Amino acid sequence: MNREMFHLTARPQVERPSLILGWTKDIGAVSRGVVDFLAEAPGSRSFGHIVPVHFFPVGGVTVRADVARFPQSRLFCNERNNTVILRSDEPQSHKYEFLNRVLDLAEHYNGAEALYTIDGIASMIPHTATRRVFLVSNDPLLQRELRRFVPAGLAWQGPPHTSTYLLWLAKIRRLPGVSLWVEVPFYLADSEDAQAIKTGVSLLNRIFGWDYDLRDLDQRAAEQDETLAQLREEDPEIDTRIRLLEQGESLEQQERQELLDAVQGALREHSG
Amino acid sequence: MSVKLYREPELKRPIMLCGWSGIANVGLAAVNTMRRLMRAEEFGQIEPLGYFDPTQVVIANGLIEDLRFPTTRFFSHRRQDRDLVFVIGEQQPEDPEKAYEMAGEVLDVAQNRDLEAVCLLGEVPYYLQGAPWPYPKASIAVLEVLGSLLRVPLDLSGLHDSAARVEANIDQVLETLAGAEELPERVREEMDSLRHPHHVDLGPITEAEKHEMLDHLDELFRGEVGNES
Repeated sequence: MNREMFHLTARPQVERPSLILGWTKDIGAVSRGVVDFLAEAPGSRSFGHIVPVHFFPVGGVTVRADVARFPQSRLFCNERNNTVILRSDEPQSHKYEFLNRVLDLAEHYNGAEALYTIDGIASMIPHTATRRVFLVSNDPLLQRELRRFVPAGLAWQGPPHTSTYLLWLAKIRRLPGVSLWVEVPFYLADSEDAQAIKTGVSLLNRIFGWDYDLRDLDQRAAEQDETLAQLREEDPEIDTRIRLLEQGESLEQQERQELLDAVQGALREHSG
Repeated sequence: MSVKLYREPELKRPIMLCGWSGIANVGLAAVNTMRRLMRAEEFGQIEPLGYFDPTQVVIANGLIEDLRFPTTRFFSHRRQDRDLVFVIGEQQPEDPEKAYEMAGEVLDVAQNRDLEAVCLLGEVPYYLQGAPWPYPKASIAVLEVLGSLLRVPLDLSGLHDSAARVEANIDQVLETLAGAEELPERVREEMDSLRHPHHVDLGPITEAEKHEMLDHLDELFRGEVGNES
């Protein structure tokens, strides 16, 4: 591992860990929500970051709520669970080099056991539906092993997500890996879907046999449901469209856009 | 990032013709058409990893089956006098450093860095440079020059058909734009001049001018100026 590429503040005591990666921006903030939970879970601690030079534009900085936001790729470990967690912005350039850096990290600890990424995927479901999870793997054996937790495999042909590119590069380097894709109602894609985050964490809990307390996530999901129920009461249009989705009907493009705009606007107002 | 050669063709004083995607894909279409017409055989490629991000993934039943990248492939064609090598690049690296590296890899295949080289630029109307379609007229212009220089008869009927379709498309777009209500006056004037151009007769190219131009390029392709490619 080229140490100039990493800024490490501690040496985690892990051996062939599972590497779990989450991006800071994704559909329904599922990826971020899950890794945030894992990074803050008991036993987790930060141990450094990937040096961001080359991977992110330096043309400016975003300031949100009086806080300057710099690109980051932070590393956490949980020795109790033998996991290394990477919470990162998606690289904006030199993607190949960045992803290989992640894989260098995986190889550093005597070769990681496996690589896991978790992301949201927008779907035409109502928020009252159970979130399904789809699996994409680079290794048939790992896929078979995980089938009891995630029976649904994704089928897709089109532009690849960065997580998929990472899995492909991991395959070249003989590291088995999976991407877990949690369904997010399309009208929550631009905000946080607490139900999907809970589904993601709960799935990892089962796969790894962890016993994390999910009550906080349960509460956030319940609050989200409550907010959306209130929106339905206040706005009959929103209610009608969500009810159509609940009945398995599809919405026209314009109806979808209107529902999305209405829900996003209402959620902003609610949080503001 | 490396070159993968499936075989090493034995070539005689080859001329290398490179076409990459770019403005209206003029070079790519020209070199690729010539490669196809001459039935050149593929003999290698530049590994795309590191140069390009993937453009497509195929996932079936939860397994990644394939990840596709823009290709940069090498083809060869044997002729009586000088053989030809074609380099067909579906995309150019965005990062200038990587573009430099890729150029180096192409020259590694040429096995020579002290080369005489020429770049043929097919003219594209400025207002079409960002259009989402190719501009076969310019590719035809390039191929007419190449065919003449290399003394290769090229059947460009396919490109002529494409050019006619593209022209019809352009006319339609210009007509639609001309009919638009809200169009700044300067743009409208420019549109009118495009739709009804005033041709300036520069007169035919004289025989002397033609010979001068062709001889200059011919020297280069025949390897009379300096080193062989």
